[in-house]
Amino acid sequence: MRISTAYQFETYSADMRRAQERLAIAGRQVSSGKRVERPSDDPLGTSRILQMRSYKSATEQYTKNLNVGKGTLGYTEEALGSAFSSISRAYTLAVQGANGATDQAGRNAMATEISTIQERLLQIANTRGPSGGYVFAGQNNGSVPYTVSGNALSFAGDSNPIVIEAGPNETMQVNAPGEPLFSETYAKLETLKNNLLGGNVGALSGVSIDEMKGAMDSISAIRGQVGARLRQVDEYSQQYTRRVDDLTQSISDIEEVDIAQALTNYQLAQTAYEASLRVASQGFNLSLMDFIQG
Amino acid sequence: MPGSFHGINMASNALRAFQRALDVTGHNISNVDTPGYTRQTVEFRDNDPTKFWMGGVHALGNGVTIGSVNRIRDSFLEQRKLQATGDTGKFSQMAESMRNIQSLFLEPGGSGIADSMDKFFNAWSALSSNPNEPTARMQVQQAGTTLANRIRTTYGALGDQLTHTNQTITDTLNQVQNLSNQIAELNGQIRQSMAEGMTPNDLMDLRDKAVRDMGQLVDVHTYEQPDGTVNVFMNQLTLVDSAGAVPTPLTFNTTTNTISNSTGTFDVRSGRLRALFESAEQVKVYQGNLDSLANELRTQINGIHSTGTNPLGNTGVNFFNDSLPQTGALDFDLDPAIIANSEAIVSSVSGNAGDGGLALSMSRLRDQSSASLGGVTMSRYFENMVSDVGRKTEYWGAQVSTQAAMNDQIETQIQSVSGVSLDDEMANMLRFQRSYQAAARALTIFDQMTEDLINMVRR
Repeated sequence: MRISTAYQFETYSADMRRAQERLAIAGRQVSSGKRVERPSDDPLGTSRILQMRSYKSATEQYTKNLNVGKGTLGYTEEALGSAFSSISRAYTLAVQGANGATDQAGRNAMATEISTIQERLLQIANTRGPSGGYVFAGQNNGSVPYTVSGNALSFAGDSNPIVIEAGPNETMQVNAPGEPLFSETYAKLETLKNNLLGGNVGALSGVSIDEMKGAMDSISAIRGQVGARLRQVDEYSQQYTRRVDDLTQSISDIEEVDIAQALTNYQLAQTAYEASLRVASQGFNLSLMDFIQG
Repeated sequence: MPGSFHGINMASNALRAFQRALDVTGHNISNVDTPGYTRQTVEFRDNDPTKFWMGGVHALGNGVTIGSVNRIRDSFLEQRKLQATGDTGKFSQMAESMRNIQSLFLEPGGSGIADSMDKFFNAWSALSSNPNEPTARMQVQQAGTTLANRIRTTYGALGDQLTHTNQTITDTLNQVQNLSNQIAELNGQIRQSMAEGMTPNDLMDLRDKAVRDMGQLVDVHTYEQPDGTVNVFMNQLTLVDSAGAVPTPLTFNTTTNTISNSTGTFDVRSGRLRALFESAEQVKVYQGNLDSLANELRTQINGIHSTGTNPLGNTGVNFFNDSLPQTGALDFDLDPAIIANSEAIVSSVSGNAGDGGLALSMSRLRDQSSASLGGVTMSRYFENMVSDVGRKTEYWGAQVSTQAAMNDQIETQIQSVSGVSLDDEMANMLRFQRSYQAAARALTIFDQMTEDLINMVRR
């Protein structure tokens, strides 16, 4: 075939351009570490990357929600713990008050301590969570739920659950209902106090001791629920951490280059480019002119 | 009977012919890098012989003259190339347009609409799980603003692309007009030269190059006329005929792929112009997709949001600005009340501080399929759109490569026929130089003979 000079040069240039382009692409993959920088690099892969990122992003949000829930549950659990110790002190006082060896002056002092415990219980019932909401107020948790009116507690919250979004179509309750626990316990403490002041040894041993025991049981039962939810939160968090790790891995599998493979490609491209340069530089130099004696 | 100077005449004819041949070779060498140049060759012809009587009738050769200077070309290949040029123009313009469109989406870099949509739903999820937290509402406000901004600016960038495309279409039509004028003018000059008995090779090269340039822009067909001119058509539309250039229709319709003027409406089937039409339509499709997405967000989010009570105690508040008919992505933004105060954001029906019920419903929209988006979720809808952009960009890019290979093949064949090879020309140069030298030597011999004759007579 007849080869024209312009075409010969054009062919060499085109070959060099192509080789250079391949080298540039291979080099870019090595330096950026990315296989998919634009949708056209891998349209299907791009779609999967976006999907998995979306899923990962949601999962990370669920994990954050779980942490919020964990905070609320933690405060609740701590408050219930304090309530339990207070009531167990009241129980001890009830047992001592019921003892015939205790004199009335002693009972009066105990009654004063019960008042302190009642104040403490009120404080506990009005515990605020990490974000400022009252943890025992249900959903109406923006204002103080418990106030003393007369000798009883009055409750301004509601019984609706505080929930977090723990997954797609999945919610988890992260509060414990304050009612009827706190009002009833407060009333029982009131009875205990009055029995102590009145020296009603019979009522103390017959009613108040059992009532204090009952209150402790109720608190324990709710604490148990809260503890179970805390464990559940931890399980979910761990599961989500694993899932996020998996998704990160899968995204990187699609999006990023296998560095060993990329380096090999780069080497190959470099060799090809060098070869095209060598051939071209020799081809450019060949001309009949060099062989004609001037 | 040939005269005494017959030999001298013959030799000087030969000198002239070889000199012209060297000139043509020089012309070829000079144009080795000229695009569209077709190599020329000299066709030598022997002169009619002189008959004379010398014991019979003999014919004595009269030496050489130049028959013609030819362009070496294969018109079949040229036609194929013209067709391929139209496809090249179309494919490379489509690839360029799609690359431009693709770059507007900033995906999958993680700073585009997909990411802001994830963060938007995440913000609702965070609010649902922590409605007491004041910053949670600000987060929703922030994420909503970012999402609306990204949808709006992407839409705007597509709009700019459309404006630019329409401008390029007008430029292209003007360019077609310019080329028509150029071809018509060259046709005129060619016709005149031909009428005068010359073969205007270089004018023809120029004209053919103009036709090829035009072939990049629109689908051109040419018909060569006996007078050396060509008529140029784009389907039913005459661009250049014997009367000259026809005004190019400047009104275009990218939906029907036509251009029109008072004389009619004409299909554009290939070339850069067709690609510009198609990419304009493609931009409109993506704009339409963003409109659907923006309106779906309005409908779904507002549908829930307006049923709630916000911390300010207001009900019936929209989250996104909305009107009937819905305005799509063009002015997509948060409702002025939400822009003014993040406390206007609703998380529940009751308005209680710890109630995140509606925020939860809004967060859950992320997994909800929308009938108006063809039964997929909003995120999926956008992902499909990005994927479509990627597929088309990849497709046209591949088409360009395939077409380039095809062009290479045709060009190889054309260049093989018509291209200048310096080695060939060097060889020709040597040949003509030697021939010239030989003719000069012959002239010397004839001259000597004549001199001998004259000297002989003088004695």
